[in-house]
Amino acid sequence: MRSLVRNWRAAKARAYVRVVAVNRELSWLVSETLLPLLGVAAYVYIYRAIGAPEAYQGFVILGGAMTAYWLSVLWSMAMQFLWERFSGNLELYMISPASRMSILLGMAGGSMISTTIRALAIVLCGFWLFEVELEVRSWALLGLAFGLTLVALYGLGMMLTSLFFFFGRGAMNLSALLQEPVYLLSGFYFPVRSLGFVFAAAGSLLPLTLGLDAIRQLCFPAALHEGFLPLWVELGTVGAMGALFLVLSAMALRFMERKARQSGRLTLRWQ
Amino acid sequence: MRALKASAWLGWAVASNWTHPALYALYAMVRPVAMTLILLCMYGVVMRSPLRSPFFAQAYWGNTLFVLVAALVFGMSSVVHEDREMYQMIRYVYIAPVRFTVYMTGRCLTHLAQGLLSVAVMVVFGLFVLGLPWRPEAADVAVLAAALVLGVAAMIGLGMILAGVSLVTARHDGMLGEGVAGVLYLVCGAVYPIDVLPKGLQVVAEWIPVTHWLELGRRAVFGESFSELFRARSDGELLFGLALSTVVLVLVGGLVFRWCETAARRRGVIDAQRHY
Repeated sequence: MRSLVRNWRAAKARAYVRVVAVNRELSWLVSETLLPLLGVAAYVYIYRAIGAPEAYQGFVILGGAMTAYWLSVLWSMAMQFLWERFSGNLELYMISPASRMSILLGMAGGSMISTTIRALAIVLCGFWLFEVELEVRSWALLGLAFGLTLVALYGLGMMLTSLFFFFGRGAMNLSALLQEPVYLLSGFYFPVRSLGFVFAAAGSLLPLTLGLDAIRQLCFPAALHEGFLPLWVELGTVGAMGALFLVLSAMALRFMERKARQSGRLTLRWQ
Repeated sequence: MRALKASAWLGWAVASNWTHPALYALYAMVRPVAMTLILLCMYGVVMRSPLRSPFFAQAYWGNTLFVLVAALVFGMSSVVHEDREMYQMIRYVYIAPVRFTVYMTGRCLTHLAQGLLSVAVMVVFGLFVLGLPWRPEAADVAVLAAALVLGVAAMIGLGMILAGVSLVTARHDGMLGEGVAGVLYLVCGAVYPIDVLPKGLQVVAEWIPVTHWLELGRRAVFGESFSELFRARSDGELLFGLALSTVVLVLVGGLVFRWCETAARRRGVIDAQRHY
C-alpha cells in the first residue's frame, strides 16, 4: 500500500510539471498552437487549390491536431530520459524510492493533458477559420477512439523513452527524422488507404494511423469510404496496441536501466 | 576567410558527426523525399494522374525551393540557441579573435549546403523517379541563378534578424525559426498559387521576397507563371523587386543583429543559460 501511495505521488509530481509548469510560459501555449495551425492552413489551401471535397480539409485539421501528440511523444516522451541525463536529473530518478514506471506514467499523463489543450485549440481554430462542418456519428465512440489512441500512443512513447536513451546525441536527429516519414506513413494529411494496402498496413504499426483513421470515420461519415479498415477492427487493434506497448515499455525500462548501469552511461552527458 | 572556413567546418561536424556518413546521407534524403511524397499523396487523392499535371510539377518545384528557405531561416536562428544552451560554447566564440557575424555566416553555410543537398535529392527524385513533366530546354539558367543568389542572401538577412532576437530572448529560440518558416510557407505560394489566399494574405505575399523568388524559380524552369497575380509582371520586374527587398533585408538584418548584440552585452546575457 505504501509503495502504491509513493508511486502515485511520484506520477502526480511528474505530471504536475507537464501540466502546470509548461503552461506558465504563456507564449509557449500560443506558439505551440499557432505553429501547427500554420502548417494546417497551408495544407487546407492546397486542397482548396485543387478542388478537393470539404471533408479533406477536415482530415487535414484533425491530422494537424494529431501532429501535436506525435511531436509530444517524440520530444517530450522519447527524448525525456536523455534530457534528464544531460541535465543531471537521471541519477536522482534512479536513487529515488519511486518506481521509474510511475515516473513514465506521470510523464505520459501530464503530456496527454497539456497536449490535449493544444490539440483542442488547433481543432477549434481550424474548424472555425476554415468553416469546415463536422458530423459526428457518435460522441461516445469518438471519445473511445480518441482515448484508446492516446493510451496506445503514449504507451509507445514510454517504450521509446527507454530505447532512445542509448542513442545519445543522435536521438535528437532520430526524433527529427521520425517527423515527416511518420506524417506520410500515418496519413496525417490524406486518407491512409491511398498509400495502398501494404504501406497503409506498415503505417498501422503506429497506433496513430488507425486511431486517426477511426476518428475521421466518426467525424465525417460522408467520407466513410475513405477509411482503411472497418471501424471496429481499427478500435480493437488500437486497444490491443495500448496494452502491448504498456507491457513493452516496462520491459524496455528494465532493459535500459540494466544496460545503462553496466555501461556506465547513467551520468554521461552530451554523448 | 580562415574563420569562415573553420566555422563552416565546425557546423558540418556538429550536424553530421553523430553518425556514420552513409547514415547521415540517408538521413539527409529521407526527410525531403517524405515531404514530397506527402504532397504527391495529397494531390493523388484528388487528381487522377498528378504526375502528369503541370500544376503539380510547379507545386513540387516550389516545395523543393522552399527547403532552402526553411534550412537558412531555421539554421541561422538555431546557431545562437545551440551554442548558448546546448554546447555552452558561445562565450568562447565571443572571446576568440573572430567576429561573431563571420562565425554565424560560416555556420549558416553548413545549413545552406544541407539545404542544397536536399534540393538536389528532390530534383533527382522528381525528374527520374516521379518523371515529372519538366522541360530542361525551357530553363532560363541566368534567371534561376540570379533568383537563387538573391533569395539566399535575403534569407541570410532574415536569419540575422532572428539570431539577434535569439540573443536577447529566452525560451523561444527554437520556435522563432520554425514560426517564421511556417508563416512564409503559408503566404509565399510554395505549394499553391497565392490566388487561393484571402485578400489580406495576398497583399502580404506580394511584398515578401520569398514569393518573388519562388515565382522566378518556376518561370525559369517551366517558362510560365504559377499565380494569376504575377502573370502580368515581367522577369525583370520580379528580379528588381527581389533585389530591392534583399538589400533591405540584409541591411535591416545587420542593424537588428548589431543592436541586439549590444543589448545582450549590456544586460550580460550573451552566455546566460535559460535551460530553454
